[in-house]
Amino acid sequence: MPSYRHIHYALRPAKNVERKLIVETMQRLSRIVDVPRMRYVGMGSVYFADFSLFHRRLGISEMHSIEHAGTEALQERLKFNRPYHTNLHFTVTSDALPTIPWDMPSLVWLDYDGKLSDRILTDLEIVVSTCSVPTVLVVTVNVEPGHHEGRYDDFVSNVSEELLPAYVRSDADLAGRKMGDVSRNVMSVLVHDSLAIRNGVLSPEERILAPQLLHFRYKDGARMLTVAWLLHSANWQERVASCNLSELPFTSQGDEPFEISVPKLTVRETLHLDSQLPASGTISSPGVAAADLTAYSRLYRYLPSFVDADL
Amino acid sequence: MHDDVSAEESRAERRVDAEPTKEFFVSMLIRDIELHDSVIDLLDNSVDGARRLRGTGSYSGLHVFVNTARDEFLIRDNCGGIPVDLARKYAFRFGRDPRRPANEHTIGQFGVGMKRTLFKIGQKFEIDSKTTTDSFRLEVDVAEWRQLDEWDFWLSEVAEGENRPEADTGTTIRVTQFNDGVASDLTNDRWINRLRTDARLKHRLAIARGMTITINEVSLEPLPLGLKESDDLKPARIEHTYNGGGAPVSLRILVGISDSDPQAAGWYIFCNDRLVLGPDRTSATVWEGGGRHTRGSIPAYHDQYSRFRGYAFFDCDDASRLPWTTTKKGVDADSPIWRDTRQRMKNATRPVIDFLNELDKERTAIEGDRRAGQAGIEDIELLSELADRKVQDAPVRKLDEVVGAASFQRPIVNLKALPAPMVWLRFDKPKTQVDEARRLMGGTSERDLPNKEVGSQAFDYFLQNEGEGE
Repeated sequence: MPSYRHIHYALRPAKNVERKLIVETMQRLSRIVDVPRMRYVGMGSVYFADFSLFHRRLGISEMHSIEHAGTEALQERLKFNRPYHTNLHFTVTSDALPTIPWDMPSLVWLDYDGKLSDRILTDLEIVVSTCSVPTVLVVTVNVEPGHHEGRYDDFVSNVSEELLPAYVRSDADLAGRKMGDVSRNVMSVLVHDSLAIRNGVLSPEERILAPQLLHFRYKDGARMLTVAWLLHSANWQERVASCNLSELPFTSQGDEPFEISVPKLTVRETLHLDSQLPASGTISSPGVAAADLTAYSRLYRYLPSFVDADL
Repeated sequence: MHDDVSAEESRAERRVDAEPTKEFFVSMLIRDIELHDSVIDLLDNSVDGARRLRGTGSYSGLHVFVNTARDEFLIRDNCGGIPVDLARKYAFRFGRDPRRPANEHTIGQFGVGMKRTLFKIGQKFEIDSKTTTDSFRLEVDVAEWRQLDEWDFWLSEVAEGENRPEADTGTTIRVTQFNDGVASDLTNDRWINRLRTDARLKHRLAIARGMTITINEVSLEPLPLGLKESDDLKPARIEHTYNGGGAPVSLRILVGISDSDPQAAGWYIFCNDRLVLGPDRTSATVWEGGGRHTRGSIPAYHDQYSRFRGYAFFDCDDASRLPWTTTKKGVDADSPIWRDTRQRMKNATRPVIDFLNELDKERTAIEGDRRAGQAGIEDIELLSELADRKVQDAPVRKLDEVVGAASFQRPIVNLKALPAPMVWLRFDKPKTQVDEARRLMGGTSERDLPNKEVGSQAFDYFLQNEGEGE
């Protein structure tokens, strides 16, 4: 069942924060890239929350949404809900991605509900092998480890052993958070492998690098992993460095993820904490756990506030 | 002085002999190619000659005759001959001389093809060549040549500064004193037929341009290759140029569908108009399969893809930049250009096989409806709406006439019309319990309410009460 049937997108607080973190990353990149002239390729579902946000906050106006809509009813719904002249592709991602012209820098968010699979890896290959640079490629996958028996077999039947780190051999190696670690590793191997093929025919200065920008973990329902890479040509290294992306506290070049854990606080508590922020030291509120206070101080700028409004 | 001597001695001690041997060329290298392919390889020289004469224009009036007998192999063409200067400096070198100009757009490239073929066939060969301005004759007795220390061949007749009409130019090669096994192949009708089929395919473009290739008195027709194209079905056309590292290599890819033919389906790879691989349905191109151990983004070939056709054409003035193997029977899997192209081919294959899979579902659904006796599907109007019908009605266009689109365009398969996928449940229960359930469902006997129905109703009852009604 697609996730839009489960929950209204705006009510997924971690997802909501994630979108804003991507916006802030792109704003930082706007020092070197003309972000409003980038193309956004996403999977808008029927809510198109990312499309609305990226248009409003980043000024991106050429937008493509891919949503496999096999019935006329769903196609009608998508057409009705699309914001800002978003182009709609009613087919699976691996069929839609090759039809996108890839003639301009892009922000691509392959925001899957499911676990890492062969089809997802194929999509990554398509984007990495054809995108113009610079392009920001963001991928979100489900990293629930699943039942402790047979999860290794399930995983390799989708992903194949040749992409796995050598230490992964059994169900236990995919337990808990490790499913996310391994999934990120596999995607990273694939991205760099595809890139090596593409770079094989490029001159040294045209060669494309793909440093990792973001590595998020969160859980609105299922455990999710988001990884983003910035694909840019080798002769852009200095420019990219000038963005000081690592200054943004939520960016991550490596294995260590940034956890988007949204603390459950009352309105009164958040107001009280806001009056202490930004803070270099500790903040406090009666009875609130230290972990929640830390989480709040890391995320308060991006947290949504929900109001039950009669519209 | 003393120092010189010891330096000399130490040099001698350090010297390692790495010179090539004739043995390597005469009896080792020939094992890498089948006789059949080596004859095709010899045709390459004639096609290169035609290209030198006519470029990409019409090859009408140009011909190659191949004749095989128990004791003689003969190939004769009127494709311009081999210039004496080319013969002296380059044509018979073992390995391509890097000083040879690389702007010829040839098929021959490695400097192994012709010699390897001649060595493969027999112990004696003669070559007669006439160009518009010169001519030569070369006779080689391989056994004698092997005895000599020197590597040179010697022309037996040479004439330069001649004036000959183009129609009288050409090359004739005769090989005698066959090696073991050669005579039986060259006189075997089935072997000759295979050679003809392969030559039709490999030299399809030369034949299509009007060149006559005759093998034992049968002239070859070009093998028709094409793609279906209509208003709602368009092949993908991808073009790219690889610059850097020498002469640019241009790539053109056409992918789509054609008539269902399991023997013609697959990928075809051409280098300078010569087919080097295909129709390929293996992991050498895109059909990796993949599974638990290795990854493949495209499934293994299956007959459900018998409409699939993909064509990749590489062209380069410098033939050594093209990603083919020396036997021209495959692609150089490690070539960076090939690796990049292969990824492009995979990206272009996916939408086509997804479509073919959908067509297959549509067909299965219709057959299911027919079996269930539903008349609606027989309705002509509805049939014309089916993607399968649109595919059948689209005409096959020759490759040169295909227009194509940036990506594969195809008719929409109406998935709504397809039934939800079903699975088969089977289980055993004690007869007494089944009879009890039947009674509770209002049935009296197995004839009146079959076991299958009892199982199905029990399942429905469970979902009605425990499910969320979705």
